[in-house]
Amino acid sequence: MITPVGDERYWNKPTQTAPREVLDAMHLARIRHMVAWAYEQSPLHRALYDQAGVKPDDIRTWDDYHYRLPFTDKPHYVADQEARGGFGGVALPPEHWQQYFHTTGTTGRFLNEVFTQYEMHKAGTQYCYGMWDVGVRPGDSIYFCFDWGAWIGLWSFYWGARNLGLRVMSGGGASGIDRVRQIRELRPTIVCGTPTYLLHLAELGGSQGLDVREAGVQMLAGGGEAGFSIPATRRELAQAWGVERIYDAYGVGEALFVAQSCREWAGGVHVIEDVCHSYSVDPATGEPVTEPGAVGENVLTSYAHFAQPFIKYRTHDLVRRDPQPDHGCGWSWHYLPGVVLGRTDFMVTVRGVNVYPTAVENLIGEIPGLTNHYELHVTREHGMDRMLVKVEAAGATLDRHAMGLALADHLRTHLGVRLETEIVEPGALPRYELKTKRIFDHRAPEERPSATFGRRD
Amino acid sequence: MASDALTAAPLSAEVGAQLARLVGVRRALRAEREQAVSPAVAHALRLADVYLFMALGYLGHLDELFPEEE
Repeated sequence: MITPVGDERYWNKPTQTAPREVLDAMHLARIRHMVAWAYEQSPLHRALYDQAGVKPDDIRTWDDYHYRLPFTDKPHYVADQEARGGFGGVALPPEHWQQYFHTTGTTGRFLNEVFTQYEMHKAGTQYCYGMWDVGVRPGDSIYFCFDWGAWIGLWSFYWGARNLGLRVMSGGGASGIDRVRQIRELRPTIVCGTPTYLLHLAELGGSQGLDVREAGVQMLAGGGEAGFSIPATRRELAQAWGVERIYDAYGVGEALFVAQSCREWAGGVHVIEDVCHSYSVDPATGEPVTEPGAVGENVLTSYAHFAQPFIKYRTHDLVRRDPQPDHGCGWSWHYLPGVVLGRTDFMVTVRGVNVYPTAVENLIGEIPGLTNHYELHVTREHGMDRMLVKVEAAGATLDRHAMGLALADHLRTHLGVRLETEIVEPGALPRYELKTKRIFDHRAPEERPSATFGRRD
Repeated sequence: MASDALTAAPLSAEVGAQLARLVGVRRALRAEREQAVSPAVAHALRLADVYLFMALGYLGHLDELFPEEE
């Protein structure tokens, strides 16, 4: 890795630093083009647009896009997939498909995904902007803690590494301790995984006398969880691995959307506006949210996905948006401070206070003696949501009762509401290689929030 | 696409000039592909088009959104 000077830091300066009005003109042209493509080629999109009484030529302005074009949502694709057999919302025939994935199924149903060769390359380019900015160059190497299954996960990171010309090292199929040994032997520039798993590897190595800090790794990267955007978790990762850089990415696999952190880490990620349009809406009304700092649902139109278009697609991810970031990187692309704050389908309101999981994780990291291994358990009693925050202690001899009280007080001070806390022994919570399961919603389906708007079926 | 659509992003003259040159390269590449003397050559040129199209995208090309669009 190098430290780029001046314009050396930009992967594609013409667009990466372009004025907002130029970017918006490009977005509107691409969106109109995408709508026309989808209407002509995707039976799902044609049906949705016909149902809404909208033709592609009707979408000429931002107001048309915001108020006339219908949203799309995962249930549309799943229903189309079930009706047609195999895949939903497709706009190119199978001879163009080069790879198949499916979503993790955390919402209950797998969504099948197909990508063309170009789409995989294009999706991968999203990583190049951020990695180039931090000084990653061809000749650097990246080790993947990933088993290359049917979840897209870090596959797109792999495509990014190939695009950038990195030397790829696969940890697929290896056990945790074997991965530690390989990393110490191969000495990659970057190790890629989920934050929880990378902490687990450091612990595992330490327990067997194999200190990962001796591997010379310069940067940790990955995503799938909030950890890379949580200051305390970043500090813990940096200390455990002896690295200076932690690289964050936020992805929406089906839409091939991957936002990236830049060199001046300011607590969030940039939308890669060469590859998608992203804006925020009120999850209850669908109205655009434009006030800086307000929380809204991230809605995407992908320019990287044509075999299965995703246009004005509801991600259900709650984000804050800074449309004019000025933290010193020079990128003009939208910034999402705090990355994903929560989900519209996991909104918890405890005694009138909206509680975001990432806010809780941030606060856990501020209590000495607690780890980042935690679970949130949500229940409903007498019509009221309750949340139990269960966290692992860092050491077996610590006073868990006292730490539980300290955490409860800290949460109350900063969130304005008292949550229940339970501190458990070190190692008591399960470890996951892929997305760590943090949230356990024990409410009955009819008790959970359902934010819907407009024409959603 | 509607006739009043932008065909290139309003980026700098330097960017526009390179975009115009690369559109020409692509035209020539596609002509060669049509005359490929074997499937191997045709496939290699198809892959070249995938990479070339990424360069067009970086420069704000809007006439097509992906290589197989026509």
